[in-house]
Amino acid sequence: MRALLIGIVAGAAIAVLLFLVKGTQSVDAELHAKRLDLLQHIADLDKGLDRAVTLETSSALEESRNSRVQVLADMGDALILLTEGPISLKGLSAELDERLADFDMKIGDKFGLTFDFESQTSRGIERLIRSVDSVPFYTAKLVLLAEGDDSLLQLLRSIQYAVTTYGMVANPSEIARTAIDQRISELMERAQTRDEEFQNLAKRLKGSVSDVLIDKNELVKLLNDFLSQPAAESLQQVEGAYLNYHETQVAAAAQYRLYLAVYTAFLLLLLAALGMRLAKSFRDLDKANETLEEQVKERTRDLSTALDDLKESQAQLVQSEKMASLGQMIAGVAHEINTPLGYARSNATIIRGAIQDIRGVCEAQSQALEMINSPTATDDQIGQAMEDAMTLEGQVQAVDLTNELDNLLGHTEFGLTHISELVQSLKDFSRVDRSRSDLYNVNQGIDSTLKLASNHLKDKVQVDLNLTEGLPEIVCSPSQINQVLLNLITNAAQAIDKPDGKITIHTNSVKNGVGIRIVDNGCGMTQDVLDRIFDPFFTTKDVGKGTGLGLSISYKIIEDHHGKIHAKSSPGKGSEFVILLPLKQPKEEGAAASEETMPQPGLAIA
Amino acid sequence: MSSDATVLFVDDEPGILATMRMLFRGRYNLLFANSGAEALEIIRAQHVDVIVSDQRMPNMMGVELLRAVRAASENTMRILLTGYSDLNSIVGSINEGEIFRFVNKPWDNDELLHSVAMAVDAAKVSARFVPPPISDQPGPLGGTGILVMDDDPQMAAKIQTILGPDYKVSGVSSLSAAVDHLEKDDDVAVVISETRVEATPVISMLGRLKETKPELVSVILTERADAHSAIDLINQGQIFRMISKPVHDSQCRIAVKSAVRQHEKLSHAPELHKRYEVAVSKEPPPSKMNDGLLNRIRGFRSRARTMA
Repeated sequence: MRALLIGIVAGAAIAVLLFLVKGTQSVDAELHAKRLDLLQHIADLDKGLDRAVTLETSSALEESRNSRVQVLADMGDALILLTEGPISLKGLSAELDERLADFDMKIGDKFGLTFDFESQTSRGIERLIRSVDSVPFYTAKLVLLAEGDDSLLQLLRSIQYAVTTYGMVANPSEIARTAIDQRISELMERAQTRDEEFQNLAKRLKGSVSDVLIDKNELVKLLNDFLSQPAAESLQQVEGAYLNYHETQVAAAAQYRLYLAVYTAFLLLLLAALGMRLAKSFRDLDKANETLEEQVKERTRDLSTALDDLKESQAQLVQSEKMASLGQMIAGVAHEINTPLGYARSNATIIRGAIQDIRGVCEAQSQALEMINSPTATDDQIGQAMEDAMTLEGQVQAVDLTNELDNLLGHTEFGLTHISELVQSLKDFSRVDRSRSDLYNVNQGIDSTLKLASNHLKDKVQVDLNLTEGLPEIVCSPSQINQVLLNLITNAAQAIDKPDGKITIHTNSVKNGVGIRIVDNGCGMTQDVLDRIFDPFFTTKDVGKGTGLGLSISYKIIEDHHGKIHAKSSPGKGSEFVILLPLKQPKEEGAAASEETMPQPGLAIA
Repeated sequence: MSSDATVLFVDDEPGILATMRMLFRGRYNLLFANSGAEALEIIRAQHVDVIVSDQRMPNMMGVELLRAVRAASENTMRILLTGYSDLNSIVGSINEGEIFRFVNKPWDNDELLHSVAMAVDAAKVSARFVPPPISDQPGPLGGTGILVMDDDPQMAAKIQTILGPDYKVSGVSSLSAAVDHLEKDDDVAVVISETRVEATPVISMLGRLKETKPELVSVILTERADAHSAIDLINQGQIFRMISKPVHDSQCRIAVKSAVRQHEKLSHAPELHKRYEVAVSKEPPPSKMNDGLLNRIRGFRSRARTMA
């Protein structure tokens, strides 16, 4: 709605602008110049016509006649242009129309006169030529008669010259005529003194001259009549009227230009206002942008701090999970060690006591022997010593005792061996190796891991091993793989909640690697749980019992080793975890991995 | 030296049984079992004075076994051999197995011999005891005396509300106040106590009380239940029950009721006292518990005798 309104207003503004621009353009300078040219051209043609006519009166040349015809034709064309077509002056203003009609009439008259003139002058001119030609004829005769009289000869020559000139000149002056009249009068006076022949000839000359003068005057009169036609004047009036019209047009255009200027100024002001508003908006936007950037920076800072915190706490969690499983394992191992240690220590005490008893018997017996060998001892003394020794022996039963002690020492040895095996397993398990370049025997790893996990297992779970002999050793981080095995085995043990629990561990050789399968007949998992077991923090254990990181760390470790781990399960029947590990690790990975102090679970933080 | 007492050792580890055989050689009539099931068979088949069982065994844990033994043969004294302390199973055994001693692995031979000897004595003494019929008559006038030792002064009122008007609950928040109270009021049947009062462990005081007033029964009500202090409280304080905070009404009621019944039993049959003899702590009593206080407790007995 608002956009439509703005569109309408803008359209109206543009329409007004176009109207004003059109107003200023009502004065077409080119058209004006053409019109003025046309008027000038008509004026020129008019003058040319006059000249042609004037020339015709003075010479009967075919040339001038042609020129006049041409001029007339041109004039006709020009007059058509003046009244018709794009540059016509018709219909521009009332005054101009009036003037044009006037001019049209005048020029029509002039055209008419031109045709009259032609017929009238051609006869007059013939007559004049004849009269003029007769003047030298008579003058020559008179000159023959007046031989010897120089002044008279001069007079005759001057008359001939003056008359010929009079006839030739387009518009002879009154003075020339008066001069000719005087000379003729003088000739007539001088002829009084001459013979009759001279007098007749003089009279004839006078008559010819008179003809010339009359004919000439007639022609001049005709010409003057023609020339006095007011066409040029009328044309000037047309021009004046046109110029008046043009001036009003120009004035109107100037008015429009003023309006346009005012309107343009208004539009410019409007534009400036809009521009300022826009600039202000832009400034505001800029400012907002700046604060926004600041805010974004701040948020980003907060976020990255949060990310750092998260990473840190993630690392801490991973560490605490490690510590928790380590603590659990250590507690179990401590118990495992405690039992053999308990009876071994106890046995040591018992054996010491028994040795004292045996020593007592030995002492009594050796005393008795000494008595027997002693020459001074009496029989009674010997008998007493023998009896003491035998009584003691009877109490202690040294032979039986030593058999018992043997048995006890056997158990002790067994216990100590068990302890040293556990310690060895601990050492194997926690080999401080950060590189992935150690050779690892998977079967041995399973053995030592089982020893450590036995605390979780022996009470309730039977472990069946189905290990393939002669499995190739793999390159890996043994402690990490042991961590995975321990995690899977303890999980399996925890999943078992019935008396006939069983865990079966298989190993086999696969192409370019080794496969490990850990199968339990525990409670199993639903598909829902199975889908999430490798997710960090996902746990089915009670709060505080599990971090939910064990399997995600295991997954990460196997992934870092370019291996694969996946699980199958059916609720109530048990679960199966399968690990595939490659025989070798890519070189550069090993180098990169050696910098890691611990495996990072693949937390989906980023 | 030899005794006609029968002692049964239960362990899945043959090494342990061999050691026991040597350690107790010639002292008692010795029986051995490899598992809980086997031990129960023996218990049902013949009289056994003392049973010494390992806690961690396949299929049946020591605590479970001892609980079953208590049901099958109440007079058999029960000793638990434990290496891997698990709080839940131990608290369970206090309340359900009524165990005489916990012996930690690795054990000290003399201590084990002593504990078994004490158990044998107690078993011999109480073997002739026939539990009196449970009396239907109400307790002493004004209710059975209960003493609550807790830093929280509201605890006594809370317990009074739980137990109802048949009991007379008094509260103290220091050991000397407790001794004062016990000096004045001879009708206290049960002491309900935190493990520590005013930051002082109550264990040695409970041990002295058990020595001087064997019929007094103690119940531990605590929020700091850890395995070691539980074992010590059994061995050295002969606590009867251990319940954890926050107080659950029914749990508290059941514990106090059975403690009162135990008190009645002990009052009627002094020969049973031996069954609840405490072990002497190897460590000296903590300095906070001053000797004067302990001497005052010791004075109870002589005064009781003169009064009688």
